Amino acid sequence: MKTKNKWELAFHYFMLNCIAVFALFPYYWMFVTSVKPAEQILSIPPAWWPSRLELKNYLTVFNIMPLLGYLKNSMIYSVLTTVICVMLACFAGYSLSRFRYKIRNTSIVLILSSQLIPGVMTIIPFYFMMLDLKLNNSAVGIVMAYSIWAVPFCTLMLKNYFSSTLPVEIEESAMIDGCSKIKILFKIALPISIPGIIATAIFAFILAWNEYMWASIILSDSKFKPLSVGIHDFIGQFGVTPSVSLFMAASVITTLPILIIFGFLQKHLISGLADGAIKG
Amino acid sequence: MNKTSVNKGTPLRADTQFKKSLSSFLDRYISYILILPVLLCITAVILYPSIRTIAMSFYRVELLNPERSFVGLENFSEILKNPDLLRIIGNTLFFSLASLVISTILALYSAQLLNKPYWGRGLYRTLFLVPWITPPVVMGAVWKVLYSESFSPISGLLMTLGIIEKPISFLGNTEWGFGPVTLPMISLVIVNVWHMFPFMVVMFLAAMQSVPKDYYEAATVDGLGKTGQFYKITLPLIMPVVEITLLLEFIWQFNNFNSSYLLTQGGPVDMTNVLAVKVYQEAFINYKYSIASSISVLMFFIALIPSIFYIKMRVQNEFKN
Repeated sequence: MKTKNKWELAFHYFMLNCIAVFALFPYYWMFVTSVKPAEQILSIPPAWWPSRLELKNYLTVFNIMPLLGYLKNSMIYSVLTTVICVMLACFAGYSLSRFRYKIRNTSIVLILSSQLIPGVMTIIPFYFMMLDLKLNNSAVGIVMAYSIWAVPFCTLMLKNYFSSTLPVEIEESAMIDGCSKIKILFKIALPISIPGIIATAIFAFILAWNEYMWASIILSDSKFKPLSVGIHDFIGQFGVTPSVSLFMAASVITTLPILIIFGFLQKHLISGLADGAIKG
Repeated sequence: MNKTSVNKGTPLRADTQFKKSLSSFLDRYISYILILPVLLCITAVILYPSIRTIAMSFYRVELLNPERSFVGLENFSEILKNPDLLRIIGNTLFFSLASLVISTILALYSAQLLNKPYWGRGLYRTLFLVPWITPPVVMGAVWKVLYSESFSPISGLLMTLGIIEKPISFLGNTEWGFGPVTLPMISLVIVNVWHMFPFMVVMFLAAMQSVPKDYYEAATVDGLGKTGQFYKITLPLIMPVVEITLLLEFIWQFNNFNSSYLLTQGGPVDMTNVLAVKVYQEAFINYKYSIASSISVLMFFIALIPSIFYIKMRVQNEFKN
């Protein structure tokens, strides 16, 4: 019995590590390539680790493309998207979880269906709407697209969070004490729902930071481009050539902020995701 | 405060009255006031443009010609007669279904591993989720390097093992293929699985953790093995979650733009092209807006049946609470 358990345990960790290698090997390769010295890049078969750390690549990449500008744009768009999306989703999610009214079921169907419409189906008219309103090449247009595409999932995430973790009793006793409903929302419901709100915020932030398609259409001026589009243009310019270590360095810089946020807050996100996609 | 309220007709009194009526208005209609912004936003940014796209698919819109002429279903008959587009439909279905099947198996297995009470499950769960948060542009860049002819560690490994003699280009190979099943397409599906399976692990794991432990204890007493427990207890109990996740992921993958566009831009010779990328190319590279609209409407209708099932299943849950 004991030896069987030992083998079972070994097999368990072997399989876990196999999947972890599949999940993380691209990250290993991205990092290793970004610090490889030039003479090692072209070796066939490729070198599995760098002979020395060439950190100069990280400086070069800041010099040959406006990386700081891209970083700033990405940060602005993602933060604005997060704030707007979380605000809208908090209100709507709270309304759907607490109140029963005529258009509630219609609203749920509307929110669910908008989650399933292909983005490319709306991009042509949206692009022309933005052109007409002169909102292309501006933070307003792109933040509008990002936050509202993220809202359906976030609303459902928060609706289910409110329904399952927010005790109705506290609100009821506050109501007996003469608290108005709007006061209950701001003074009681939202403050005790911070973990759920954090989950929604990370989700919206990651979505906005990672997005490529909308930004590539709506922001054509390189002054307004976020990291995703900037990096993609940069790679397109060079292709998979010996400058590969440079664009791996740029990739590391693009991913780092997301990894840091995720590293600190992943517990919240993981418990929130299931709320948004499946729970009722 | 009391004094002023006795003093009738002062402006202050009118002010408090206004405040009172405002707060009673807020209290009465709070449910509507809170939901309306989202409904308006969704209507303006998602629904209204969708309807305009559907309308545009019945017109011929040309870049230099300001006049739009109504052509009925002509755009649709034009795209459906195009053998290239039929191939892309096949690609899209293969891409989404293959990604779905492989991810589901991988995610079920991973979730099952993470559901065991062994050391390090939290750490592995976090590590497994990393691909999902990767920016698609970075995913495309890294996997392009992993698959490239000159810098690929995969080729390098296969060469060291003596399986191949010279490096192969995973994304550029056009020699071998059977329908939508080509080397670039298989490579693309692997990348897509890499990106999507973590989300499914989270869903499946959440469902598995809600299965009561005594079920397994009872089964062990009855002499049911680990595999039997998985098929007889775990799988049936998490099935509702699996079904909803599969429907949602199928629709998302069917509409997926990032993987194909950012890895191969649909090439070589349309081998990895999918409908979402085709719409983008027709609209913003060829400026054929009405053709692009018709293709996206076609996409919408193909995904409509799973969408209806998804909404129905969700609605049954949502309306309850």
